[in-house]
Amino acid sequence: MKYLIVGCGRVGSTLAKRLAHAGHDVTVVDEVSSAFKRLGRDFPGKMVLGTGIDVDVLSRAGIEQADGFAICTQGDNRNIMAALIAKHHFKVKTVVARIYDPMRAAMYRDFGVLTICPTTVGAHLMTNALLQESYRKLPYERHDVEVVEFVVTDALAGRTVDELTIAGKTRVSVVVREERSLIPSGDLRLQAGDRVVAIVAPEAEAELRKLISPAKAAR
Amino acid sequence: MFIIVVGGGKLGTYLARALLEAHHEVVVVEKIERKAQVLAQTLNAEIAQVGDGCDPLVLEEAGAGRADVVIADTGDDEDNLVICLVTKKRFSKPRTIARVNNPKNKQIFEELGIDSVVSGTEIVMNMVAEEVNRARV
Repeated sequence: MKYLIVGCGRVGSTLAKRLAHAGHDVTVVDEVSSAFKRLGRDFPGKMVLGTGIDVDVLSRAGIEQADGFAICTQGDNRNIMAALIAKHHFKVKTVVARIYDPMRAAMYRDFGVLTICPTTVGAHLMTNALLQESYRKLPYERHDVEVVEFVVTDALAGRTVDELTIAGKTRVSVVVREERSLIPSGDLRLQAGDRVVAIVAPEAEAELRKLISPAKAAR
Repeated sequence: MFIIVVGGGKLGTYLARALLEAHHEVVVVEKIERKAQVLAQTLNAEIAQVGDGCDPLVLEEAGAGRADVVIADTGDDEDNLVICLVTKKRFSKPRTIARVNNPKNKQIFEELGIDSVVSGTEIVMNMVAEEVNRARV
């Protein structure tokens, strides 16, 4: 596949190297030529000098043939503009933008651009690390579904997966037991110490927490 | 009419002055405090507001909910686009007018639904082209 990455900072260069390593055809755009040093000497992809919000630069970088477009420069507005150009002007199928401001990130999702907000993801991970809660949300870049993880306490042990399932709203996806990941059927009985990963609709989260409240109380 | 001008540089300042002279209600939103102070001193203390016009809360405070027109005239095309898109998304009423520096962005802005897009470069280029044509005749 052919990917175009704009912004060759720490994130952009790491992303470019990963995609190239996985055998993809990668082109990187940056305004400053010294930024390309981050790619290392043996980077097999192409490098194009210029700004990501200029249609001529993007054409030169081959955006018309790109299967995917990622933008991660330092400026939120620049990122969103480039993403919109890629999505709506050049009709690139998959467009992803890094947006630091959580409010803007949420708003631009509505414009059909997938946004990654490192602020939200980072705050999430640090909150979990500080609180060491047995119930925590895993970072997942969608706002209409949550992925959560919790540890089964003695009080919750013995319940079945079905008992934690609310039709159309929650589903237990994985039960990690003794370092083995089980993809459970409904009649699997939970054991104390199991780590459960579930998907849940945001409006059903309170309900799910109530169902597993023994887990919360025992924290 | 009630007009919000985002960007209090030279263009914004002269624009605000001309609009005030034509008896319009004007608020100028400017990110840099020093520039906003100059605006307040040279024009009118009440019209200058310090803030980032890309922020919906700043636009709301400036009165975007009841504005007839929002003009984005900063020196950065990406900021002007975001100002207009935020205005369109959050406040349905105002018409959006954007300045673009790169004339090729005019088409992009129009595709993304900005009501009026002005490119200074394009205007001057058209004049040059007219001069060239006239010289040929």
